[in-house]
Amino acid sequence: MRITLDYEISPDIIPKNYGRGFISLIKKLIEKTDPLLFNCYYEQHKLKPFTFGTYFPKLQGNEGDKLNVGNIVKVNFSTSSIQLATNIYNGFLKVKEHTWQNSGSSINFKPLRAYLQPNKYSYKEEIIVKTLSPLLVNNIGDSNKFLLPGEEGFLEGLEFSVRECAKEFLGDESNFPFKIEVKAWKRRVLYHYKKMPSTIGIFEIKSKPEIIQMIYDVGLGVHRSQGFGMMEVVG
Amino acid sequence: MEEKLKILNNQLKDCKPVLKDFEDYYNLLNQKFDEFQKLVEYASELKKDEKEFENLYKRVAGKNASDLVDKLSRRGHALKKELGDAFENMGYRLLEQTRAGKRDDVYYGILRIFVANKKKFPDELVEAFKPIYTDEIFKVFIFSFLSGIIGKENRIENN
Repeated sequence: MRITLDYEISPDIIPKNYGRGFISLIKKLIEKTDPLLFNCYYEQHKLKPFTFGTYFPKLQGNEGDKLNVGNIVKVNFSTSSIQLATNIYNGFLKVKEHTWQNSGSSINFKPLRAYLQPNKYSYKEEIIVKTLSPLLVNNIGDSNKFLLPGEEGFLEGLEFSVRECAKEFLGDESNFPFKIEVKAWKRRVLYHYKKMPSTIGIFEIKSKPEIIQMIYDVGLGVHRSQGFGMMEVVG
Repeated sequence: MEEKLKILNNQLKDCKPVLKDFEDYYNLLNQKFDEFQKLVEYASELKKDEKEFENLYKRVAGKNASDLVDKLSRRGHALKKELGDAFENMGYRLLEQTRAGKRDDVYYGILRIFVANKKKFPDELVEAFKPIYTDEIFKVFIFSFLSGIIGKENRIENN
C-alpha cells in the first residue's frame, strides 16, 4: 500500500541531513493518531513495517553546504500494514503544521494533498527493482559499518535483513529461497546522523511472491523506516 | 464507574430506575471495553510468543464484534450524505470484492474514496479490517457499513 503526501515546506534551503526532519514528521503523524502504536514502534524499538522516500519536484541543487529544494516535497510512504496506512493518512489530515528543528536549522511542513498510489501485487518469483530511496546494508554483527556492493558481506547482510523482516512481518522463519543480484549501482554519500555510504541502483530479486511483495511494501536493507530502501518495480 | 453503578443500585432500591442513567452506564462500559480491547491488542503484539495474550485478544474482540456491526452500520448512515454517491458508484465492485474476501482490495477501494474526498478514515472501519476477525465476520462488518452508506434510503432519495 502506497500513499503520497504532498507538503509545502519552508525554508527552500534546508540542511543536507534533512532526512531526520521527515522521520520526525512521520513519527508525529503516528503519535497523533495512535499513541499505543507509536510506543510499540519507538519505545520498544521493534522492526517497523514501512519505508518512505522523498521527492522534491522543484529541486535546484547545492547551495553552499545546504540544499535548495524548493517549497514542495512529495513523501511517498509504503507499508504492508493497513492500520499504519490509515494512521498516516488520518495523521496527515490531523496535523496541520509540523516543525523540525536541529542545531540552528529547521523545516516547517504544511499538508497540501494526499493520494493513493495504485495497488501493486506480486505474483512473480522474479522481479527487477530500482531504488527510490538509497539502500543501506549493515555488516552482520556490526551495525555501524555500512557496506557497498562488491564488499565482503554485502549480499549476506542484505539477505539477513530480508529474513528478519519475513520473521517479524510474515511469521516466516523457513529457509525460503532468496537470491539478489546487483544489476547496476552507484555509491551515494548520505548525511544522516553521520556521513554514511549508501547504494542507489537496480537489483534483480528471486524469491517467493510473498517475500517479493513484502520487500515492495516495507523496503529493502536496514533503517527502512528512516527513509531508506524504498523500491520501485521496473521489470 | 463504581460510583455510577452504586447510583443505579440505589435507583433500583427505590424502585425508580432512570433509563438515561442506565443507557449512559451502558455507553461508558462499551467505551471502556473498546479501550481495553486496544490495550489487549498491543499487549498481544508485544508478547507475540505468548499465545495466552492472543487468545485473550480473540475473546475480547469476539465479544465486541456484534457491537462493531452496529457501529459500522450507524457510521455508514452518518456518512451517507457526504459520501453516499461515491460509494454508490463503487458499490457493486466493493460488494463483490467483499464477497470474495479480498480484504486488501476492499480496503484500498474504501480508503481511496475517503482520500479523494479528504475525509478521515473512521476508526470503526480500521477495526473491521484487523486480521483477528475471520473472513466471515469481516464480510458481515463490511456489508453492514455498505448497507448503511448505500442502503435503500439513499436509492429512494436518488429516485
